[in-house]
Amino acid sequence: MRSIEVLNRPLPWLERFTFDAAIDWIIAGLRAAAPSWLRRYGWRPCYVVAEAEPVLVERSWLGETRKASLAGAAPEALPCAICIPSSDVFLTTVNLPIEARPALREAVRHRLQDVSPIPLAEIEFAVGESGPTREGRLIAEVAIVRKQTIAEAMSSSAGRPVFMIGGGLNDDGGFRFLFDETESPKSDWRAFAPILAVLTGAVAFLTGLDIYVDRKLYAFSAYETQLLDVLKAEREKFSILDGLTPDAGSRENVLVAVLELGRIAALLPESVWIEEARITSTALEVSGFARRATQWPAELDPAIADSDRPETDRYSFRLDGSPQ
Amino acid sequence: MTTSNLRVGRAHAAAAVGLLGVTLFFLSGAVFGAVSLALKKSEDWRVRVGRIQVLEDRLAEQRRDAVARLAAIGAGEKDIDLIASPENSIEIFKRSCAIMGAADCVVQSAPITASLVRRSSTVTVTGPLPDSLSKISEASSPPVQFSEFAIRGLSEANKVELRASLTSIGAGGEE
Repeated sequence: MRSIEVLNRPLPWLERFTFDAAIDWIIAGLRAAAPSWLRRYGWRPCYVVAEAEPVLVERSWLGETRKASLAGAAPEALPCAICIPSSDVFLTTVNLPIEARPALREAVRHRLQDVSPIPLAEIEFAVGESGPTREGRLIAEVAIVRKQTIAEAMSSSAGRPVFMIGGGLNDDGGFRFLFDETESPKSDWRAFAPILAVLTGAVAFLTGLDIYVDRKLYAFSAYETQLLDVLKAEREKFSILDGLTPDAGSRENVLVAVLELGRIAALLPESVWIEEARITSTALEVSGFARRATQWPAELDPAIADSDRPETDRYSFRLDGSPQ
Repeated sequence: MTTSNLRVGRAHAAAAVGLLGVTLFFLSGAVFGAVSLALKKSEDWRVRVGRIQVLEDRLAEQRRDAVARLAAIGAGEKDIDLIASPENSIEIFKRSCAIMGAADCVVQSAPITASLVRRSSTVTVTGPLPDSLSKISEASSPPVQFSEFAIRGLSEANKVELRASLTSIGAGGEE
């Protein structure tokens, strides 16, 4: 019979559209279409029914409810529903035309004075299950309770917020008659909080990553353009060297050998006279005259020969090695 | 349950499932789009890094090649402006001649590439050896080099005759 309640729910925009109502409507529709294992997936504590023996009601992700043990739960942290004892509820039925279905509660209200044993000003009522008859009438179950009874029940809730007052607790934790209902408990949405947090974090991270990658790609592009410009400029700059092979030039720089000659000339004693020095790319050749018994620097080993001058020898030495 | 109830129930369930399907369709489209975009950017990143690496390698290779060619003619990278300009190239060669104090600086040019010529000149100077050596140090400024060098002692005290060959490679122009 619960499915009839679901099926009879009006579209949310026909009544008053809210986001929660729209989500509830979609979930109710999914619940009607889903297989039983999916309807019973994701049980979470939803509310506590305050009776002589409190009952915990759990709700699945698709809105199925069931009674559960209070063991291990923290009832003070959950919303509270009040079940009016059956001894305080007057039950009756009302026979209505089938056309009364769209405004069933209002139709029942007009018939209350005929069926209620208590003055109308002192009662609250709830419409339960209703079904058509073969004669084209509508039989609706009606529960009547004193307002004072409800007030007493509310005061017994010890200050805890009460979101639902009903009578006739079903096996699934729902009420056969619902006298008053405020906003639905929000505990269901808490189940999605970690998922939403992860999704939000992931979206934020991916957005940041995307911005970073875009900037990096832009920097790559700019650097690439810069490299191309430098490459082109240097190619033009070095184009003068086109056709010049690395071995086309001359490496015969004798400057180092010249400096070496200057160093050696400074080492030579006064008695040595340089007649000729010749520097090529591979050697330094020096020749000349020196007085006999000249003390030569240790690093030089000249070839000595007689000369046609008195007390004077001819010498020559060669230092090999590339001046480079 | 009446036929009307059943009809409303089926419509409700179908609408909810349809809404969920549409939501999942758009969500999966968004995820697919995001993944496609990420893959495209990843590929773009890889391609650009590869292109930059190729350009850097090409630039380094171009510089290495230029430095090797410059070194072959006794010049460094900073001398490219001197070499590339015919006027500067001729001027620096004549400046080296002038430093050597050579009265007879006859420049001979021989082309070695379409753009470059080898200039050479043989200079002969006399004077004290230390003075001559310091002149050589001063005149030997890249790309001008001394490729041959001979000293002959003179009978005059402390004086030598110095003969040297200057060479330089630079842009060809009006000598």
